[in-house]
Amino acid sequence: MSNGIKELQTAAAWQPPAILGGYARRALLAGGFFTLVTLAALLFDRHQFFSSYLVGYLFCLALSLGSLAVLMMQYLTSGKWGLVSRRVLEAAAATLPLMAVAFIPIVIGMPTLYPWDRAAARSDANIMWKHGYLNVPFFLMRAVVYFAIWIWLQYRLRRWSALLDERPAPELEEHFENVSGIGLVLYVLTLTFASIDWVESLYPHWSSTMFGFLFVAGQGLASFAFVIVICLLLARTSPLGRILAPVRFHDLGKLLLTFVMLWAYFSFSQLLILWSGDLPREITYYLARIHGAWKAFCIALALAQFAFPFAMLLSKNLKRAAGPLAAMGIWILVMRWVDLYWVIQPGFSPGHFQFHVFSLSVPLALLGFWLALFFFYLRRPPLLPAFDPLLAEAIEDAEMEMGA
Amino acid sequence: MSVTHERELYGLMAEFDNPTELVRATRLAYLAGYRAMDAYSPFPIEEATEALGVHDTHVPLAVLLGGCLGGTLAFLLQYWISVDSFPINVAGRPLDSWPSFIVVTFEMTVLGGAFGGFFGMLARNGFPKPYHPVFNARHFDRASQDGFFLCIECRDELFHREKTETFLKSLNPVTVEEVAC
Repeated sequence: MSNGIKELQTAAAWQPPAILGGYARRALLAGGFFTLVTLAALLFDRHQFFSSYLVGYLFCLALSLGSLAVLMMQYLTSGKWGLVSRRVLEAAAATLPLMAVAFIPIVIGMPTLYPWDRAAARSDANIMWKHGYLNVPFFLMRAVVYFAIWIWLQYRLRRWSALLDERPAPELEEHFENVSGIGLVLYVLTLTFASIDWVESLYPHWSSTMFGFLFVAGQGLASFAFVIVICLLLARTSPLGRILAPVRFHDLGKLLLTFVMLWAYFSFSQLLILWSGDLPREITYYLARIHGAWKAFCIALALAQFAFPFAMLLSKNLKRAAGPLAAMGIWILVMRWVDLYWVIQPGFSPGHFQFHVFSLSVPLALLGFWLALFFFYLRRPPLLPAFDPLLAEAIEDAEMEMGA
Repeated sequence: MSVTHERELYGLMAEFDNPTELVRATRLAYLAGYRAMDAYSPFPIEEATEALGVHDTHVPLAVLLGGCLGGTLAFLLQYWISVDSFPINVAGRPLDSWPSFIVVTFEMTVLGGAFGGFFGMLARNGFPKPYHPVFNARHFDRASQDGFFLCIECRDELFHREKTETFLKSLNPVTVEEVAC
């Protein structure tokens, strides 16, 4: 190990660049701007506000919660890609307490959003027999439990991780693995129930056993795409520029490709199961989404969220080139929004395509505030855990590759 | 010539202590202009592959072609069976119901890709090959245990019995020895 590496094994060497503060300010401004647009539009009509909010909320939640899941995944598998992206994942997961606060508008909008929370549902026997699960107090109680688990997991992992800035702590390794192992199981379970509560119950007559997994894959996909974009920003500046070698982007690119395939696999599985069953109460979900203008969304999703990224990400050169890979990340993030829009919006405008200024302004406002918060958290700790045993290896890799 | 040979020389083999030394040596040998050389190690070292200047192995292409071929054949086979050869009406669905073909198409794409990779790799490596001169090196069995080897072959344009040996010895090897054909 060279002296240069010893020097880099201190927290001081990895202080976040000042430019992150600029990003936070710009994100905050964008959030404020789109909030004003939304408020202006609210003066004219409130139609579609809550459904747009739900889309934007689930998009931001995918970044927070997906990052928590990927954070736990990298503790379990302990790769060098996890080391370089850990603080990005932590900062994204750190937004979860405020995501819990941002859930309040959905609670306010429940009667507008969820048919089972309307007076008309009382005369519908097909909804009433689900009343034991789909009722307001139990819905809120479950939401509290989900957020409690998610917030505790990110708090626990971030607190331990902060210790690695100060001293070598090999005894923590086991703790990380134990919490992450149990945490991932809890994550899949809570997210399955949350997706049933918050999205599937928009259509209380309908059910799909694949629905939770679609969200698991979607969040993982969103999180990897996001991490790649942020890693590109960090690789352009000091100090991470000297460790984010092409080989690290190659790792992240491979994982992105995996999640592209996983998402396609789960999505097609759900379609195949419902198509094979061909039951009137199940297939209506797809009938509402493959006809009219929604058909274009449907085809766009298959081509643009699967076929195109899949074909591009097969290339080793693309995965090793930070710029094009990050462009692919942004592309996939946009498709994540399209996907959520396609899942949620047709339920509110059955049979015809509807686009409202809210459809863009509300998610963009939420994303602006979310990003501001994310950069705020990313600015605080050093960008790498200085006393992680993998750090020296990652630096050696980068020096070997980039010829430092 | 310091050693008299009954058999022709295949190349000079240098043994190194660890993978880092091997990669460093390979890089320097490449920089010195040697091309006809190969590195041998108990486990794959990506950096060594790059240092050898092996950029295009064509194996990914074989995987791609294998996958496309497998998927296309699987789809066409199912289409032919369901539509032409043995049409059965299942719950009134059209005969060419593509969603039901996808599962088998996917599996056959994976199988075709795996075949492409496996046989493409064997073909590109020149397998099957019952005899290879590198095994004549004395400690070469350790290449599958804890030895890291770099062999510069005679067929290289720059190869010179003494100069190449001096060069290899300058790379901090454990041993340098001749490998007979």
